[in-house]
Amino acid sequence: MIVWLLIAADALACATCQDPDPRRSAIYLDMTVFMSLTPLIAFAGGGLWIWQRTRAIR
Amino acid sequence: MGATMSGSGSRRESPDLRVVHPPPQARRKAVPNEVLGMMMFILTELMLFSGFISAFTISKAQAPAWPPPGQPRLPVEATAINTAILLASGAMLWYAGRRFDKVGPAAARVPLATAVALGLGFVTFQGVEWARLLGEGLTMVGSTYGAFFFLIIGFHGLHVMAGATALIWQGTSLWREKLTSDGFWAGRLFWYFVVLVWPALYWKVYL
Repeated sequence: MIVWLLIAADALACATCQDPDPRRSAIYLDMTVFMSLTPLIAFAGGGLWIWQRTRAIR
Repeated sequence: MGATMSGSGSRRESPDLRVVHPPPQARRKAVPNEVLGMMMFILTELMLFSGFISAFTISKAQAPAWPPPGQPRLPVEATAINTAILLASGAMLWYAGRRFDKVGPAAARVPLATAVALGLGFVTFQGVEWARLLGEGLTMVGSTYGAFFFLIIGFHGLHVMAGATALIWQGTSLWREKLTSDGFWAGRLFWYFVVLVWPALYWKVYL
């Protein structure tokens, strides 16, 4: 949701693919955000879990 | 010379190096090596399936009709039951891990065997459905629809077979009382990934 708020309305027309269809351009943006956030969330989640376990055994 | 002998002639004590540099001791690890390696592997697998889902979603959005006209419909209801079978397999393996850690390795044998049997049942069911779809004309080279279906679902099927093989191998180690807790943990992690990624694939590809 925060990511959506950071994106300017003009960018929702998908500057990369220049697709004028709002439904398709929204899907392209969704997939871009999905592919960007997935590794971030996975890394952050795994890192947090390891950090908590490291603290627990000290 | 003066460093070893004092003025009175007595030998000066050299520092005990074992105190200054104590020998390395086995330390408890926050995350076992097997589990950390499996987590890294699963991360790459996660990106692989994310790429598949992303490419499939974009292709689906570009198509005027989905599924394309003339293509067979995917078995949504039957695969929903198969999804439940795979989820049950994951739950059974979770139970096996819990029994392994809380009761003992021998207590994990039956739940582990049940989890593997359910996983193999899932793959067998998928194979039957694939044969039916191939018979109805859905092929990998026939259309984008078929190509994505066999690529994504086939890749997942390969993962299920690889995971089931690994669990069978771990099961034989368990029977011989050679399975370590960390190794079993790593094997379970892979199976959890295979089980949990499936509902996302089912939702995107079948529904």
